[in-house]
Amino acid sequence: MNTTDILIIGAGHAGVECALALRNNGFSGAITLLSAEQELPYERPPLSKALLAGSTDTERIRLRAQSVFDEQRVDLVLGCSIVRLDVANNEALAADGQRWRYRHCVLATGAHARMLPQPTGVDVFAIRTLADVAGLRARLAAGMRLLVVGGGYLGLEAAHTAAKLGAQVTVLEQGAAIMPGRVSLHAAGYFDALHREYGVQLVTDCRIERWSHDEQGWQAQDANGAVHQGDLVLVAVGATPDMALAQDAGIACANGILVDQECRTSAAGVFAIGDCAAALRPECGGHVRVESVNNALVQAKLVAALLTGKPVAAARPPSFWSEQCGKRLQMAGLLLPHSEILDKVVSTARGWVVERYQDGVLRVVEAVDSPVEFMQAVKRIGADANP
Amino acid sequence: MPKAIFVSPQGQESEVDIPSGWSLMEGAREHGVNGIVAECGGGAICGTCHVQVDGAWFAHTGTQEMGEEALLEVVPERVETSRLACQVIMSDELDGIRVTIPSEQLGF
Repeated sequence: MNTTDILIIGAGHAGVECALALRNNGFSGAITLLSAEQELPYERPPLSKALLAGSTDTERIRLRAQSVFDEQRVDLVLGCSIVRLDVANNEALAADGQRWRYRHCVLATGAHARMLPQPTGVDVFAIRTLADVAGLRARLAAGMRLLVVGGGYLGLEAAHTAAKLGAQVTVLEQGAAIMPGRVSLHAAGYFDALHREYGVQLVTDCRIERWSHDEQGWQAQDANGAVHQGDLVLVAVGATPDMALAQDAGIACANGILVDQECRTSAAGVFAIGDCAAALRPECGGHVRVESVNNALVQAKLVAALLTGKPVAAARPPSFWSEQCGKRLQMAGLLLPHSEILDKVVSTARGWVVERYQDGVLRVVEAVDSPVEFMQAVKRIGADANP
Repeated sequence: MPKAIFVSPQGQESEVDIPSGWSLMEGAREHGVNGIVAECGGGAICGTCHVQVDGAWFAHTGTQEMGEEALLEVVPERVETSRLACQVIMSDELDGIRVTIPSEQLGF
């Protein structure tokens, strides 16, 4: 039986930041950081971009060198998968039989790529881990035909990367526009045009009814009868939070591990942060799960502050970014469900900002090539349209 | 391998080896240098990797794009030789470069 003070399960952006922030705040007890993966913790955004493109490598996207964990006395354990959490007895059981008794537990288990019943098998890929990218990278080459299922952020980023590598890319999106329900019409239109400029074929309103595979590769037949051919398929239809551990432990979950505004789960002494956590956001009237590096870092620091008695930073609108076709889309804020949106597009010196209002209140800001204007607009989130 | 010296707001110096081609930000992050947040992972859109480059070195750090210039205008503790660490690329020419980390990064 291992004993520790803080057991952090998951060593992605959130887990790593939490461990180091605890030390930074002066926490002197034992910190154990568990990763189910074999590699040192790494940044996730480059997976669909620079790493897939081959312009960076695994060493360069590491979150920290091993020496940092050693110097900060964070016990980083790689290749360790926790299979059961006993919240009554504050114990965690790993697949290899190791056990940890903890005083506090932080679940930072992240999310995994959602897969589809079809297509599966040979030449079907997802992008979530280093191993995923290695597999896809090895097969991507000039002239290869890539079908990307899902026109969301990840699918589009990967589509662009693949197109730059010379692949013939087709994105199959079932919604009426790319990034449906996520961005304004203006932003969708802007990136739609850019992707087409780079030669990516975007097919929207596309519902695949039948997948088949033969020596010619994969064929996807859509509801309109059109058949899309590919050598490779990338499934990019979203990520599912890794909450099985929490669910089995009887911790309240819904669209993620449910936590309050302090990232506390329904189990005493257990927190959840990052992609796996659905936090109560009163301004949205419910629990919202945010997938972004910013959210992971903010929640990690919040828990570290709570555990060390430090002041908690004032809440700010969650932010997010996506890079497609060499352009960075910045976003901040959350939309209310079921409420009409009024978009105001503002031209800036080099780009644009979209202010998204609901019921007369600024809720979300989007921007490209306007980092300063973006920041200024984000400060007004929550304020009235006409103060 | 070229090295960079990061000076904390309290004056503590950390000497860090950074491979040529890596940005100062990547080097700082890899070695756990505190105070460089790099929230956007190096895209010059968040301003949280701001550093004050020592005078003599500033001229060697390369050109600034307009996006970086605009961000530097709003970062806390901005000086004439401020740069975004993600935009300064390490090379043998920058071996020994000294930069100071501000006590505050953009609260963003």
